[in-house]
Amino acid sequence: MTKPSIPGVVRDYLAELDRELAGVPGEVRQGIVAGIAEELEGLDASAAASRIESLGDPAFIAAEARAGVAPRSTGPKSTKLVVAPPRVSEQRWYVVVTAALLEFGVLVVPLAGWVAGIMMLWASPLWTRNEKLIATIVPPAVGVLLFGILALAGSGLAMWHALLFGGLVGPILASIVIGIVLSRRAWGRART
Amino acid sequence: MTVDVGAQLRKGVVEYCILGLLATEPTYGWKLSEGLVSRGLIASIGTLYPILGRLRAQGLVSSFDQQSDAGPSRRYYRVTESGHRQLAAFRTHWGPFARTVHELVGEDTP
Repeated sequence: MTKPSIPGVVRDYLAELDRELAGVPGEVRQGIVAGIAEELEGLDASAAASRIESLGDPAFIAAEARAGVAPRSTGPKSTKLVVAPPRVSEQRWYVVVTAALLEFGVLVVPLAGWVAGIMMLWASPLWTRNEKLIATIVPPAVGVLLFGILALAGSGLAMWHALLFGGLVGPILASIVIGIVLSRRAWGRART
Repeated sequence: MTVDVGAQLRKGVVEYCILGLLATEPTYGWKLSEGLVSRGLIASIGTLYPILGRLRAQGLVSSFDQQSDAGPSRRYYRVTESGHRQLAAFRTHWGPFARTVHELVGEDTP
């Protein structure tokens, strides 16, 4: 089976593009020509002309490529992506400690343990404002809600046990769920 | 003298935008270029390949050839493990940075 012939408009465009790219480093030059050639391959003359029109003037593409590689002449360091060293509050161990305090801090040091977790949460850029608000508001809200529901349901010693159980266990369970979700979300954003 | 603010901003972030696009799915050059040109992040496909070359040289992006069902064999680009880490680091910085700039600069008011 013979390969379909390349339309003249494609051949001419690729040849002109290659000429215009003279002086551009080989890898970039070949990448551009090959990337465009593979897109134009198999198209008929009309479809190819339409694609070529959207691409633009070979001289413009070559000028852009030349401008893009120019910074390399000043040395590889000038083009290297530089990211500042991670802050403490951006590291993975920080995520683990924060999540542990949110989930179980209240059991270790009543109230203060959970508050410490919330403070660490707000001090870190790893979580969004909404995530921080949810972690801060939802557990107390769950406690108040359960307390209210059980208080309205009846009275007596057994009911006060239920209130205590609901008011404590509810917020703790909410904090555990939130701690797990937030630590999973922050894990990918954190730096090792 | 008026500085081309848009061009300066694009220069600072376009590499990460490319990593972000490639992190979604491996993509070939033309499609990548169309996605970036349509969003005004690069001027033409000529801008893309020097950046791809730098990202490859830094080990943030790798390439592979894949035969398509109906069309030609294409060179695809994908983000490496190191590229994913770099992108995650950028995401961590970008939100607070953008918020800070917005706080300082504010919005354009008539």
